[in-house]
Amino acid sequence: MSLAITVGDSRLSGYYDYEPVSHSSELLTRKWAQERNYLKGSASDWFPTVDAAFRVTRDECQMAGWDGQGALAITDQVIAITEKVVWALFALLPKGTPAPDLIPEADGEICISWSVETDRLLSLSIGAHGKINFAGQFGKEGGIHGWQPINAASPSALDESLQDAAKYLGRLYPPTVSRRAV
Amino acid sequence: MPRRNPTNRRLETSVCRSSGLTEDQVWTICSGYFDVHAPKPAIGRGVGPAAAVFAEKLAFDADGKPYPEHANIIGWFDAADTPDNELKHFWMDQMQRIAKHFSYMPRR
Repeated sequence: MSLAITVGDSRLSGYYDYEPVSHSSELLTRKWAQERNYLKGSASDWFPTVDAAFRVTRDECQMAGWDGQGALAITDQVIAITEKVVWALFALLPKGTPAPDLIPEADGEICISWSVETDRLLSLSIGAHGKINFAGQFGKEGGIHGWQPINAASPSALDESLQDAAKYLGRLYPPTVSRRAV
Repeated sequence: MPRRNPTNRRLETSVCRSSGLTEDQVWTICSGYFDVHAPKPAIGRGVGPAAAVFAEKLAFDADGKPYPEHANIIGWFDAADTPDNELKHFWMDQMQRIAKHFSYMPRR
């Protein structure tokens, strides 16, 4: 499987420098980026994990008090924004980056989280307020945290606002032969 | 993650002091005070030392309500003129550093 991925990269490398100039070509490029990483049925495929997590969140967290402690409902809007963020990150990240955990939170937000070890992790918290709160621990390198605005209505603006998150994930999962930047 | 107490707006994280309790006693408390309010019973718990909380310059308010072992972790970063959705990353950062000292124990 690794060999197939490597061959695929090499044959298609000429397309990666292409810069879309129109709205439709931008959409096509995004679709292509998502499909390129999709590798359906492979260990790189986020879809089964992520789709199952969103389904459980929809089923179990859309009523206030879903945690028995007064949690706010996870609304369709929050789920939709989180889906956009997840799939934008999927297209931005090197193939082979593991799927995140999706964790409903009591304040009505969804946390997208990657954990390599107890002191190497990154979490992004997504709500309906147009901001991402993030925090990460990188072992001896220390941690980072902050917030930044996002515009989930515009794919290109969303990609732009997720560049830092993608960079931080690169510190958790450095490129390897089987996980290469595209 | 802390939540705001609706009466005084203080940031609190509800915990149960489990030192000296048996596993059965812990889960009896859970059944009586947590499971009855939740759609599904708890499947496990996080266990960690109080020192991990103190190391983050947080404190415990052992209020003993609604059961004697109940306490709230308090002292979370707060700023009156900043919305919670711009403060949350401070709490996430503190939680991540505390959580690495915690272990998961599934319910038997």
